[in-house]
Amino acid sequence: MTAPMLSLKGLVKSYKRKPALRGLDLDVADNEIFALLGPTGAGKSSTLLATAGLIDLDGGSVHLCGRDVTDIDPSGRDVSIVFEGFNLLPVLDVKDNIAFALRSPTYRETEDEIARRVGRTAELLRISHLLDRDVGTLSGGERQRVAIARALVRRPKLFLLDEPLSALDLKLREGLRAELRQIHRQHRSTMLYATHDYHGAIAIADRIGIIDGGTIQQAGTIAEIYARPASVFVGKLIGSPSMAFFEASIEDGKARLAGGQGVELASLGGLAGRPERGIVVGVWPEDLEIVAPDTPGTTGGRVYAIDNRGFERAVQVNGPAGSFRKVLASGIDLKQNDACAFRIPPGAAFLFDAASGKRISQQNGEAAR
Amino acid sequence: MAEIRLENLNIEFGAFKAVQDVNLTVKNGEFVVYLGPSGCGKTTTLRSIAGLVNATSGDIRFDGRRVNELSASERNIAMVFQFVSLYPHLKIRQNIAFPLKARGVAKAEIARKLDWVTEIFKLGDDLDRYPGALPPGARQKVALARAVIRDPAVLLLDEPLSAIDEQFREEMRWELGHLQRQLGVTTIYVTHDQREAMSLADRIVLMSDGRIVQVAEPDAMFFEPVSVFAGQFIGSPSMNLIDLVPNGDGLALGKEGGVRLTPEKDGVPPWVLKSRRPLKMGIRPLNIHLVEPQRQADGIDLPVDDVYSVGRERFFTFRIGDALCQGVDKRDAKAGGTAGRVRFLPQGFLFFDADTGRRVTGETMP
Repeated sequence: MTAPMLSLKGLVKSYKRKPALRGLDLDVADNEIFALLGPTGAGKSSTLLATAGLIDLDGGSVHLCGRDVTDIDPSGRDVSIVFEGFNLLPVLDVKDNIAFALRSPTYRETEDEIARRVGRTAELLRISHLLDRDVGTLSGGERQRVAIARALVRRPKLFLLDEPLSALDLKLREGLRAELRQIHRQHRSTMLYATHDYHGAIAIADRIGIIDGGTIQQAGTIAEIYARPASVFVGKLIGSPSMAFFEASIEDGKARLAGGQGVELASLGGLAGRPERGIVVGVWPEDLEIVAPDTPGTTGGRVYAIDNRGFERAVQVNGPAGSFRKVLASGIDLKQNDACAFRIPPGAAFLFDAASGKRISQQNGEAAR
Repeated sequence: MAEIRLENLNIEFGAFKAVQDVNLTVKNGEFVVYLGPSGCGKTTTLRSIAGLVNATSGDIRFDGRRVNELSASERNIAMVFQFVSLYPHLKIRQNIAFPLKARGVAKAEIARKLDWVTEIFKLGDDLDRYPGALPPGARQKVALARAVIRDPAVLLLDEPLSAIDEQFREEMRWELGHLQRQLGVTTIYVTHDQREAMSLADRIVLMSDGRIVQVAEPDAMFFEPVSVFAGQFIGSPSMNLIDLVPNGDGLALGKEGGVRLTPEKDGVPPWVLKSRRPLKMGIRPLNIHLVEPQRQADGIDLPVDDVYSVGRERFFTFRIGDALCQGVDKRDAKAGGTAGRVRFLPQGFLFFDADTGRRVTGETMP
């Protein structure tokens, strides 16, 4: 096995004694799109800046293609970074903005080669018709494409994107996500993409890393994370709607939901360690079955609100053990304030320690899926 | 609460026609969402109902009574804006009670109303706090409680969620849907976000260039768009729009290197092939499924370009000629599978006049 394209080892960084990265480890494989998903202040931007060499680390090391580049200047790393707010040069037209890096001392390409590469990249991003325009006359979406083209034209080993689409409106964002994946496929470049938006992350990434408090909480494909979510925090960030959580207690070999169903612990593949203080049962909403009220062996609840999505409806159900949201199967017609009940099918539950939030049930991969 | 009726409403600013020939009845207790791109006239319409903008012509009626000449304060409307303005030096309880106190409502009545909104809005824990101590979503909720405490004829909401962080926005959307139905107050809501409109509305009023494009319930808006504009404004990812190009004695999907249609197999209705006007076909990503590469069956199928899992759904792209199209397969994909082709579901076909953008069906075809 060859070395990963990018390997971050134990990154530590503080700003004015406020820690941003606390021993962050991450591997990104060659030709992979990796999304770094986490809330504001989780350490996403610091991770990207450290990878690009734009901040000095307090500890840890950065490796590109197996080579330690921790002490190498940004210009020697062959990575390209796109920020949220475009940073284009206003005095140049689109063509010269894209070509800017190619004319720098590091690259010094011939003008023929520059014209060819700018033309090809512009075509890919569908901005060929804008090449002679001033950047000041472009719309937000057009500017963002120019910024991406400028980063891409250098054909870097690694392409870093920091919330590149969050400033754009929804329609534009969707279009550009699809395009970014296309570019990636045609270019075969490696991308590290930071975002706080779950939909943005999954729409583009091969693998996702959930980041919080300056460390990676879990990394994997979306299927792997679904099969074994590491913590309550991960469950809350993943899924649409995200994971449902219920207060529960352990009695007679069962995890008993407050006011409802008991989930056989044996069906969960056993427990790793004893919970310190209570447990929380987590279930992916797709797995929850909504049934008629007062069905034996289920937990009761009431419909709090309905969310129409055109082709389907999602529902929020509140109950004594907690509330959850779920997309309804077609044919189930519920209205606000209707009584209902829900059931967790065998093998679908995850147990988390209420205090630490860590998963303590040992899922066997098959049952969990 | 009141029924709001707009009759032949026109609003002009100098030579600019902001709102043109708008007719609409908002039923008592109904939640109507005005949706459209910026500059389409939706906010101007809302402001004319509020009495903040004068109608150039036409009538605005509350329960049948013409209110054009009434000032904003005489119309008994409540309006909540994008940016919440609570009195920072007053507790939440005082903020909410303020409109009643300012009108000299008796103390006992104020207390009763306050109990009522506190119960519905679940504000019990926050009543004695100051606005500065609450997160933005909660402040928005307080503003809403203050707006409805005096039983307005209509609640007017101007992009109330757009200034809130993405994380809180979804929460507030659920809250708002719940609260409006609990309150039963006639509500008119303006947004450019189709997800909000679909989620909240009893009916959506889609506007463009000062005119109403379509008025429909969310489901009908999704499945029966009247035009390319309506079809593409609603739904995410966007509806695919594909050229239908004459090809020999038949038609092909897509311009260059498109797919020749064989009508009896593809599920394209016969009138489409006979159409003398150029048409485009719309198909929503949800009406395209992934299928096994070796399966041979009737229907339009094409090689897939790129497939990626999104939760338990699969998103994919494919090409028709030079156009990149998107599909979403919501059927549970167990192992990712070997899906190599995409299949169009004929029930999802929509046809549009290529020149006017209007939707055409077998019955409406000229």
